[in-house]
Amino acid sequence: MEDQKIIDLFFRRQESAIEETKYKYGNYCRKIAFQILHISEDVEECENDTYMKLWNSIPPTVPNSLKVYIATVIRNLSIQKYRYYHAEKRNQHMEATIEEIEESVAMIETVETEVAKKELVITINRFLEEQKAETRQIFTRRYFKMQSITDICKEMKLSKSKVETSLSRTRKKLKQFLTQEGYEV
Amino acid sequence: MKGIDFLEIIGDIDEKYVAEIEENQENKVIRMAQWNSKKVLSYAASFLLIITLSLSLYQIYMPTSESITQEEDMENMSRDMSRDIEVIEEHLGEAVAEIDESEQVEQFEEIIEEVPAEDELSEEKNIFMKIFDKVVSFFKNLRSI
Repeated sequence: MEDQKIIDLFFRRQESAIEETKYKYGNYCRKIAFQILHISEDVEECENDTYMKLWNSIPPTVPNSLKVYIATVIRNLSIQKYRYYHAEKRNQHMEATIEEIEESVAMIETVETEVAKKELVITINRFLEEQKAETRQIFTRRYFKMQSITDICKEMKLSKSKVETSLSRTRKKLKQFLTQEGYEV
Repeated sequence: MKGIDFLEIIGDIDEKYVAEIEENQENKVIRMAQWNSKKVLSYAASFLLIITLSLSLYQIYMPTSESITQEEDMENMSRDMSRDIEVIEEHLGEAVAEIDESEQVEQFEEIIEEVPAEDELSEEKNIFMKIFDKVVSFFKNLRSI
């Protein structure tokens, strides 16, 4: 079924909307959640939470792209769940990703307010806009979709060294950019 | 700021950057599918071509009862033709030899003039002279050409 028809089902409050979403994007959802959580039960729980969030947020939200909207929802829910279980259920892949990015953002003061968070998001968007498409895609795959370096290499048909070098340079550039923008404490 | 906090904030980046990844991935899948379908089509076309060629070659070269009869006819014809060619070559060889020796033709003419009247000759000689006359006139025509 086309995305627009699924969105229409959500708007008409028909429960088949969830069935259709699950049928079309179930695998996609589980893949994103698994990159972060690495535990099947948590992934399943996260997937169900995602359908609930979609049901509650559409309407009023009208997603431009249902796929991207679902990716954002499940990704953020998975991060929240990971944070919640952080002490008990660590996974190496996620820990490595966190450590990598922490080097670039350690000097930033923790943002507490929603306004400050939105400002930081705008700054990150500007930073991404300045990057080359390939560099940006590698960065987004790694820190938004939490893909492993192996998966990025496979999907983008790039060598491991190229992906690692690109990520390392982008992190350094991000640090410089955030410093210039006055985020350094 | 902790890494996990930053990752949480990145979750709110402009969706166009996420869409960019998805589109890129979908395009790759489509290109792959197109490439695969092209590959399958080219294989199918090659296969059909090979089958057609094989069938054509089979029809041309494999002997059937009809083609065997045709082959025999052809052999007979070529045998007859080679025999005819041999005869023609023989005659032509003689004719060429006669032409080359044109002086002899003139001598023949003289002989003919000296030959007695038809009634004085035997019937066999008559026939021979008629043939000889024709031959000479033939060479005369040749010379005039």
